[in-house]
Order: sequence, then C-alpha cells, then structure tokens
Amino acid sequence: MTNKDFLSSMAAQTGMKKAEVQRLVQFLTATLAENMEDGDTTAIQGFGTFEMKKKLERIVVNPSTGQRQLVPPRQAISFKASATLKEKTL
Amino acid sequence: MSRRIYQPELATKLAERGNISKRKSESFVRAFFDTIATGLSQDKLVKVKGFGTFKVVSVSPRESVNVNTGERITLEGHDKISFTPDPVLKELANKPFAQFQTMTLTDDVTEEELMKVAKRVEEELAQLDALMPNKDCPPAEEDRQETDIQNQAQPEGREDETVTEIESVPTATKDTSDEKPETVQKGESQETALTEADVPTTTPLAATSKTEGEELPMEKPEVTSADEAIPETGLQNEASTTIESETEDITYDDMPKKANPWKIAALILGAIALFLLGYEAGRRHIFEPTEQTAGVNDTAVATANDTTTKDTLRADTLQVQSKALPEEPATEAGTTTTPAAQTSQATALPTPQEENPAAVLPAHPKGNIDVKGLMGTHTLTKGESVASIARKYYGSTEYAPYIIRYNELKNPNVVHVGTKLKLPKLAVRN
Repeated sequence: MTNKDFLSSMAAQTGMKKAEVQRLVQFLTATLAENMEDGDTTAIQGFGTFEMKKKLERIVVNPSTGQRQLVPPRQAISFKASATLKEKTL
Repeated sequence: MSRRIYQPELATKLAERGNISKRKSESFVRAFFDTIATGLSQDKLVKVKGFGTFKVVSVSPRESVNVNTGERITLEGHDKISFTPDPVLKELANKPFAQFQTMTLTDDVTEEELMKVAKRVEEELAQLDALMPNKDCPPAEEDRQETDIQNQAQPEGREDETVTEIESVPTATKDTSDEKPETVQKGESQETALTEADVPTTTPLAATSKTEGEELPMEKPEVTSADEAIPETGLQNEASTTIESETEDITYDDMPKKANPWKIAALILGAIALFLLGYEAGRRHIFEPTEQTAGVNDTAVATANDTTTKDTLRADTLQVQSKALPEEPATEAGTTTTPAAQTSQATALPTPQEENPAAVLPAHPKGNIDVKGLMGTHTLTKGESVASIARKYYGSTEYAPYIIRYNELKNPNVVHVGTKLKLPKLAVRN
C-alpha cells in the first residue's frame, strides 16, 4: 500500500478530501515527533507503541580502509507492534 | 522525562494543531492506525509519506541451544512487523542531537590513551597554575608545548576535527584550559616587555645570546679572514637582532602558545642562512682572482715542466748544494752565479716577461730561491691577484709567498686595484 492508496483509503473512511487527509497526516506526524523529541512514548491501543531510544556515541571502523569514525549520540524511533496488531496482520 | 501518551492525548494535540474539532481529530487518529493495520494485513507493506514504512518481515527458522538443557532446538520462522521511520520523522525526533556530526578519528588514538592524556593535561594545568605566581613562564610553556606535541591526538579533540594540528590542541584541551591562556598571556606580556627593554640597549649582547652561539664561531674566522666582510656581518647582526626582536614580539602577541618554537627555529635558521650567504659572498669576492688563476694554472705548470726537463741537471746539483747549506741567509747568497738569462731578465723587467723567468726558475721552488733585490713593480688591475702576478712574472703561483713577504702584505687575500707591488728579483741559489 503506497502513500497514494493510503490517502484514498483514509479519505474514504473519514469522508475527507485527500488533500485534507494529507495535511492532517503531516500534523499527526509532527505531533508524534514532538512527543518523541521530549523522550515520551506514544502508545496506540490495538496498534503498538512508538518509543524513543537513545543511542550512545560509538566508534565505527570502516573494515576496508580501517578508518575509524566517531558516531555521535542520537535519538532513534523504535516501533513495537501490539499483540492485537500482530494477531490481525500475521 | 519519559511518559506515555495515549490515543486521546494525541488526538487532542492534533486537534489543536490542525485546528479541527476534537471529535474529528479522534476519528482521524483512529482511522489512521486502522488503515495502516488493514493495509499491513492486505499488502504486508504500508508507506505513509512523512511518517515511515510499516512492513511485515518474515524471520526464517534458525537453530539455537536450550540454555538449561544444552539441547539443540530449532526456533520456528515467524513474521514480524517492522517500522522504518521516514527521514523527515527521524530528523524531527533527533532534533536535540542534530548539531553533532560523524567525525573521523586519527589512527593512533585509543580509548585508554584518551583518558591518560586527559589526566596528564589536568595535572600539568595544575602545575602551571602553581607556577604562575612565580612568573616561571618560559619553562612551563616549553613543557606544555612538548606534551602538547606528544599528545597531538587528544581525547577532547573529538569535538575538534583537526586533531593533528597543534594549534587546535589548546582549544581542545580541557575545561580548565579556559583559565590557562589568560595567565600565560599575562606572563608572556611581561616577558615581551622585558625583551623589548633589553633589545635596544644591549644589541650586540642580544645578538650573541639569541643566535645561540652557532653564529659566533663562524663569525670570528670571517672577521679575521675577510676585512671587507666585517661591515656586512655587522649589518647582518643588527638586522637579525632587529628582525628577531620584532618577530618575537609578534609571536608573543599574536600566537602566544604554539608558534614560538617553530618561529624561533625558523628565525635561527634564517639568520644562519643569511650569515652563510654573507660569508660565502665575502669569500667569493676575496678569492675571485685566485680562482681565475687556478683555471690557467695547469698550462703554467706544463710550460714550467718543459723548462724543468732542460734544467734537470742543474737543479740536481743545486739541490745538493741547498742540502749542504740549509739555512743560508738570503743576503749571503752568491751574487756571482746568477744565470745569464736571469740578468738579462732583470734589465728588461718592468715589462712582463713570461718565458725567461720560467726558464730560469724551477716550477716548484724548494727553498733554494734567493731574493736579490728589486726587479720592478707591478700595479694591480682588476682581476689580478698576488698568485696571478707570481705566475706572470715567475712562471708559477708557488712564487706568490716571495712577493707577499717582499711587500709585507698583511692580508694577501685582499689586495686592491691600483696597489703597487714590488717584485723581488729571484734566483736559484747555487
């Protein structure tokens, strides 16, 4: 399901225009990101949890050149599907 | 800190942000995740622009070991849901750490080294602080420079991309390094004041002391050997001192920490190079004539050799005589036994004669040559030297010492154009 399919499906379900849906999706994404930025976890019942995980800085070595690089710390998004979703989809 | 946000709160936030009713927002959020779920079950893949990709990934079965019993068991293959956030979302979520960048580390830095260096820097800083009240600037500074150079690859250099550059090190050293430069600069400003005060009053002293003695031993021979070169070197000294003092001031003012050893080294090298240049130039000038003659010397020797073959017999006898009378004074030498050619030469001497004296005098005088009064004079012209005169009148440059002694030349290497040289009348002693 591509973004196009997704949008049309959403539009049909909510009775909104695609453009409106697209706009709201953007807002939703922004809201989620905002929550994550603060380190908060967003849990959606029946779907799963979006969690913010802090990754420490680390040194990586390029195996071919032997060059070492220091990767700075970062925040990464992890998603854990809920049991309901698993049951539904798998 | 971290707390859980549930669907209602999300809907509320979305309603605020999207300026829509809460009910609408709630239904939208529900629809959003429902659609994703149905899409996943249908297509195993849902892409949402600006959000990410949900995918059903199959995990193949694999073997493992039961930890308790040690039995080999097979874990069954299964599917799992993966979520790959869109780069946009990733970036948004990583905002707090966005300013960090991946950077390359230099080869010779290990974690332990980093820690060690950090410790040592701290210790040295403490020492430095302890020394500062006593105004012990230069040694402390030198120490620090050494260590800095050794520890070019600093742990704190991580934040600084140019770890290998020495100048970047102090900025990357430590938190306490913020205090250090101030104190160092204070001390250095004092020092510069001192040097500034010293330089104008005691220029020669400063010159000798600053050029580190290397110039001195070389300077002395030059002074003795080349009189003309003296003013030059004097100028050089002055110039070098002025330059040195200036550059020192500059270095202390502008780059108080790192550039000093290099600048000073470059300065010393430059001074030495200048000095050598001057020395070489002086020498060239002095020896110019002799070098010219040296080129023609071979021909002179060749002609002289011809004559020696003629006079071999006579020379033999003369040598025997000279051995018999080793220390006979020049005045007592027999005037009677002058060769005929010699006398004729003496009469015609003021005009340069090349054949006759060469025929009479051996190519290589062996201490059996006598001076018998004045033969004539020669006024030096450009390009001539004592040696060239000797070759011209006596057939060999080896007769130059006679001219030098006869004219009592203090420095035969430096003879000026227009100088009248007295030419001694030379004869082989019988």
